[in-house]
Amino acid sequence: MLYFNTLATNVHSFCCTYKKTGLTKNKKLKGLEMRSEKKMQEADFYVLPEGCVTNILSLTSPLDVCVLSLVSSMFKSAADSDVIWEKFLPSNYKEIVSGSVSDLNLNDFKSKKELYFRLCGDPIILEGGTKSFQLEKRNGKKCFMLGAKELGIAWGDTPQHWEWKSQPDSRFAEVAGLVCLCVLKIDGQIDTEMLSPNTTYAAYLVFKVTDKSYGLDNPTTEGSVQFVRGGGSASGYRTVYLDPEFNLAPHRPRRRSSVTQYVGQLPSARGDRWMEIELGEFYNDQGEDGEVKMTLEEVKAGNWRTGLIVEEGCVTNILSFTSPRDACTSSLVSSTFKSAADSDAIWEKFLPSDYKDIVSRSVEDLSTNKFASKKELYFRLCGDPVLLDEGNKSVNLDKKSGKKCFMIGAKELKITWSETPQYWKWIPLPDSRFAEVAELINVCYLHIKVEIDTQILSPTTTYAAYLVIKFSDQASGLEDPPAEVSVKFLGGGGSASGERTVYLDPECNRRPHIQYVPHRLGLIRRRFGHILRPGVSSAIRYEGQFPRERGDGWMEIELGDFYNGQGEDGVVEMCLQEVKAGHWKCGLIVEGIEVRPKGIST
Amino acid sequence: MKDSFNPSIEPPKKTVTLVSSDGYDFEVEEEVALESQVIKDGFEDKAVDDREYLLFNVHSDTLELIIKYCEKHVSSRKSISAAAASSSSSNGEEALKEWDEHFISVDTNTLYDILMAADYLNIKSLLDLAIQKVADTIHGRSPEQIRKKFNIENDSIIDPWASE
Repeated sequence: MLYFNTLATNVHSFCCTYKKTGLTKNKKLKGLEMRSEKKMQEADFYVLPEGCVTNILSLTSPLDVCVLSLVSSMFKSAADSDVIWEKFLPSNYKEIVSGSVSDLNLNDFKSKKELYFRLCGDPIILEGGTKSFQLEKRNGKKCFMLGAKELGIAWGDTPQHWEWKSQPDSRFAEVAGLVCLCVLKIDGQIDTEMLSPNTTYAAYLVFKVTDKSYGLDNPTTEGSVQFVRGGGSASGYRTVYLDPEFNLAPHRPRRRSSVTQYVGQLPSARGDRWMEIELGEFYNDQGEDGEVKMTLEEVKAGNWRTGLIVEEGCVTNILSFTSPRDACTSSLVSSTFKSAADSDAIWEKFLPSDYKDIVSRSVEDLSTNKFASKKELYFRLCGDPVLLDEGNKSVNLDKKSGKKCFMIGAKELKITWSETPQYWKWIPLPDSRFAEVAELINVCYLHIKVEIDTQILSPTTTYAAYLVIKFSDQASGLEDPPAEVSVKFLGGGGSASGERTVYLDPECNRRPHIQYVPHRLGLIRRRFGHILRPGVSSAIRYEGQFPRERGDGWMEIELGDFYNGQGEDGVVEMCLQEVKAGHWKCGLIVEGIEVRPKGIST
Repeated sequence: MKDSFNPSIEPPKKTVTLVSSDGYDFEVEEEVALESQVIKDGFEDKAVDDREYLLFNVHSDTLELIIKYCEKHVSSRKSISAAAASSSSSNGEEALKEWDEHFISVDTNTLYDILMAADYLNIKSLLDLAIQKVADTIHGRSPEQIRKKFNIENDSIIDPWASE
């Protein structure tokens, strides 16, 4: 096949000197011990050189390694080795462990893996008990928490303004309680050298609000994250809301529609009975940018407030590559940054490569001259879904990642019997993005299917498919027996979740699952045991088997998921059917099937 | 290029013959073959005339790819150092990286063959490239997806559902 001309004079021309004639691959015939002439058809990753396995594992993340240890015994033995876990530990882990106040001894751990998981577990207390340290389990990055004692709190040492008390649910010996004060200023500093390199960190203030609090939700409270001596990129100032009623009435309508809201602007529960509020974020390159100062302050309004308990300021990381959100953040850093971050060149990259095609197919006029910049177009596409073609399909982008989400309207789905008015009716609904949705009047044979070419989706993304539905008041016969759903590639390639069962239960949001499921399964087994496949056991039950509220007045049920590599895997078929029991079903309203990156809520 | 057919202009380059597991000859330039640490080690031990290496573990299809890779790397290294010597700006390294990226975007079976061959021949840069590719492929997938992708049999005793 290939033959290399020995007379080539220089390497630059080398690639031209072999001939692809198909005849010049010389057969060796002098009694070589020939291996099998035919090449092995299937690669067998079961036998890899051990060094390779170790190298492969250390290039992935701790989470991946744990997943791999379930793949096969070869990976399992490698996945437990000290060589790999030592790489995931921070480079200065010995120093950290020896500086710990907690009773921690390196010799107590049988393996590096054990040590890793200890460091990911309960935070270890450092340096006189005013700082704590923890690893982020998924990626082994360092997280620190500075105790209230370590923070600069204005008037913090005056007992009539702040009191120091111990709280049983705090990791630190003492926390600071706000008694009464009109100047609220809390700041903390951390040396970026201590943090993991190449990581975007976010800073949170961890606090609690007592019953008697007042004056805390003043909208002029500012959070900021800045590097002490210029350098580095950090998010700068932003407004935060220390709203004490947030955890009591999370759905209370708020009056601040005019201000751009960030995730993290409002307090959120941490799961350890404390709340946190994001002060901002910064990027730690190699730790040479010096110290970062994190501040929460409210000094302008001057009204009195009380009832805040500050446990600690905490620094945790966000694992991120440059994403649209990062660009927004860096635009807050400085004016030079801002102009770069607003430039069309950058935002064009975040737009899907085929955005021109989307724009031209849009029902609404989205022609580029309507938008002053690519950034504006990006945010339009992230907003309300854009109807495409005849208005039976919609697309929008996930704001954070810029990935495409599609919804295929009921008109474009293959619904068996949908042309027959006594079985399915087409009705307009005001809260649907599409002109008409399909209402199930009465069928035995329920079969809904759609095919999507993965080329139209964003590459290297795990997508999940959802059937978007509603139940009418007459809904019956839908939840039992369970319907079968499937997501698979036509032609067999790619990786998709395959077949599952789901419960189209209109009542599920009103009845607790835990009581409901065993009872329901018992019923099914008694009545339809003969048609149930043996695979339906409690082990494979999961949350997505029941319809979920979407927040737009519709419900959704997960059909499954699939991984889209470069869109070369062809067509994915998504299907929901209940055709075996043969009883009458009615009352299901179908808006469409939505395909969006997994892990993103509506 | 045409000049290469006229040996009087320049003396012919030294070549080495590599023999694949299915018995095909590949005649390559010495410096290309020396990308492999194994051949390099053997080369230093051996007498000058013995320039034939039998690669029992490398199929001709894979060897062809490996040679393509080594050639590209030898030639780009030269052009990069030439550019550095004349202090002219060059994006040779980036271009090479891109080329590598393209080179390693192959199906799983080929990737496996390349990985095994790179390990056997001890070509470090290629091995790193292949390993990174496997690691990237693994990243973010579930055990079942990984088994399917790499054609691995599930021999672990642990029930993945139970441990999740």
